[in-house]
Amino acid sequence: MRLQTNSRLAAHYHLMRRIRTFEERVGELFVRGQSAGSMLHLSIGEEAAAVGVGSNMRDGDTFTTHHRGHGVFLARGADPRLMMAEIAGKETGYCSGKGGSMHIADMKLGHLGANAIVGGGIPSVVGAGLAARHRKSDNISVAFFGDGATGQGILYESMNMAALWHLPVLFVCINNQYGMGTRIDNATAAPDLHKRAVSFGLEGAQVDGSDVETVAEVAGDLISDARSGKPGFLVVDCYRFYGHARMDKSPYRDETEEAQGRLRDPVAKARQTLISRGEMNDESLDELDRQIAAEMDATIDFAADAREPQLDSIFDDVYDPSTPPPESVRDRLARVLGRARQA
Amino acid sequence: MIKLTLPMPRLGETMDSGTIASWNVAEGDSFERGDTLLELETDKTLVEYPALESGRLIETLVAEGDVVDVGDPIAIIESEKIWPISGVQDEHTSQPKPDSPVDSLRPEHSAANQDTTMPEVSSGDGFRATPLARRIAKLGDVDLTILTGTGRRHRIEATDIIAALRGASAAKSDFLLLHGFGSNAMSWSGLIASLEAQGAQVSALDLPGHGDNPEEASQLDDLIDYVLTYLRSLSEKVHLVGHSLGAFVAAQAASRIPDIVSKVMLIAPAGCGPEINADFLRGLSSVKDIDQMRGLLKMLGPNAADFPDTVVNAMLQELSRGRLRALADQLLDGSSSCLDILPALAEIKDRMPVSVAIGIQDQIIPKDHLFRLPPHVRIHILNAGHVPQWDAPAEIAALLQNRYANI
Repeated sequence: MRLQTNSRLAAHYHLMRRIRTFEERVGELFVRGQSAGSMLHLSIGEEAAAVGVGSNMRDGDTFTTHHRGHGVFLARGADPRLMMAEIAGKETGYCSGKGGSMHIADMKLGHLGANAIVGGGIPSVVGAGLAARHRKSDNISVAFFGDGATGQGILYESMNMAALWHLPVLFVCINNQYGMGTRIDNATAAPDLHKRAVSFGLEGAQVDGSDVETVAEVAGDLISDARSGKPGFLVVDCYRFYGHARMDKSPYRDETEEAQGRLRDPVAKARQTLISRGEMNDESLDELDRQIAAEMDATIDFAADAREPQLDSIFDDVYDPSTPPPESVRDRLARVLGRARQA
Repeated sequence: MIKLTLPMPRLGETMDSGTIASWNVAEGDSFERGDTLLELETDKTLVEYPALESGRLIETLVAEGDVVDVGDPIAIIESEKIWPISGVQDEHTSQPKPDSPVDSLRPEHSAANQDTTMPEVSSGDGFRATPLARRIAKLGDVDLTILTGTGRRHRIEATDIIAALRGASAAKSDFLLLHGFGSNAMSWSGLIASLEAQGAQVSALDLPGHGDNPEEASQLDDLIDYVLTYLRSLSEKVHLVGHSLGAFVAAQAASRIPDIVSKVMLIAPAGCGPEINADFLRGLSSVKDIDQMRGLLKMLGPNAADFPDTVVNAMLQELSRGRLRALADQLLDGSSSCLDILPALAEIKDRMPVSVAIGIQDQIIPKDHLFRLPPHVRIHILNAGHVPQWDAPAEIAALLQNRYANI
């Protein structure tokens, strides 16, 4: 399924549509009763953040995501089959089925880990940025998190350190207007979140998350600044189309607000722009959508057919392999008693 | 297209049952993959249940407000593929889909099920109880097999167990409502609400051949026998209320076992004379499309003429199955009614008070029939059509509760 055009927007559309269809299939996996756990957070409506930022990153760049991170990982080249298998808790998944939706990680693709703790992934990118500078590489590290994380102190400690040490780091706040059921204007009196970063000495910007081209352009500038040691903070303003998780129908939101919010659709907008510019037409886009639907259908089959983790693998990958195995009780007794005898 | 029975899904690890919050697709309507079929309330939250394939909703088996166990059937649908959910059944084979993913891949799910439910009583005998009812029954050492549930499709509810523990019959009610030809228990919902608001216990039956009653009505006696069986299960006297054909059934039942009936109210009763709108009856038993349904409803009175499409469609859905053809033939001789209610009224003359309510705009049964009623019957004339409980609900409720002090 290769695009027959070298338009950058077409590539963005392709990736955003793949993210959306993948997440729709994740929702089905849950209804089928095949997901490991029921807390599945979909980023439908927020695809431009993942794709606009992700497309400016390079091999060797690292990132962390929040609990709503499927889109970011796909934008960084994840294999959707291995992601679906992970969400289904299968052995072939990215983390052998032990991580699930909220704890996917893959060092090869620079994914330092999704994190279910609000703001939990943010400080890691400061360390990763420091490591990149020590190695004298031009790689950066990007933290993706939601607007809810701007209420966490760790964000401000991390921003402060990144600015103080001139680290190659970008903070990306995907402002989908809701921290679980609390709307941003009920959570803060100062909703221009990027201004906070400016006061910490970072570059700060806010973009319309329904327009992937703008997101990509602004993110590109911030990322090239970050590579030269000027950390940045980008707010992508968008709308969470569905509930907090697959289990949540968001009864706390007004239906007219939801209907209007869903008009801010980055996928639909990219499609319209492609057609109006004559870069693609309805038929070629429909064909592309069909191919993507088939690709994502196959991820469910792949996950359903994959093997369950074996019981004796329960401690595999849990400890760092360089950690020495714990000393047996008998050895420890012998050692302690032997020392006592000597004394 | 394959016909499938859809089970209640498990939307969350700890979910054993859920409440149907709303059906978002109407019976007969098509849906696309991803469309929300219904919304469910679990103990934590409200969840949408999206369609896994495109298809058509044929019949809903549970109503809004019903509490349904995971795995119990909730709807019959038509789809191109078998849905990959545990417990989906192909109607043609009536076999659970073998090796459904959940069962084959997650054996712990079935183990968890056994922990949360009581030992299984044969499900083939129609025995059904909610998990809460089972739990209370276990604590209170109540034998579920001898109880009759008051829940939908006779499912045993927690309240039934509590009633059984208190030694009261679960089926005690102040009023028992019997609907007319082609109707069902739902038609009383407005009246039930106002009676219950005054603290009364009200039961309404779906007569054989009607509504959710699985029993068919090949003859009139099927209806009467059904009501007699129900009355015999009661521990206390009941105020029997019947509408139209239901009024005829009420009078018959009251005359056979008068000891269990305290009073009778007959609303637009059938059987006071041979004249009847036979086209209406035959029309109801063979209705095919919505225009015809609307035409029939118009005859019922001003209120019924304005029913929304969803209500009319639901009625059409039920009646178009043709369950009532045999019964309609029994009730009619050409264009005349074969029923005579007067002997039964004579029999109960000294046993219980009988009142009759008649709408002066009745287009089904002539209002002049009131002149044939015997003198011991109290007659109320209302500005209403054939269904006064729709057109004048407050008055009917007031009459039933004897709230007009001076009559």
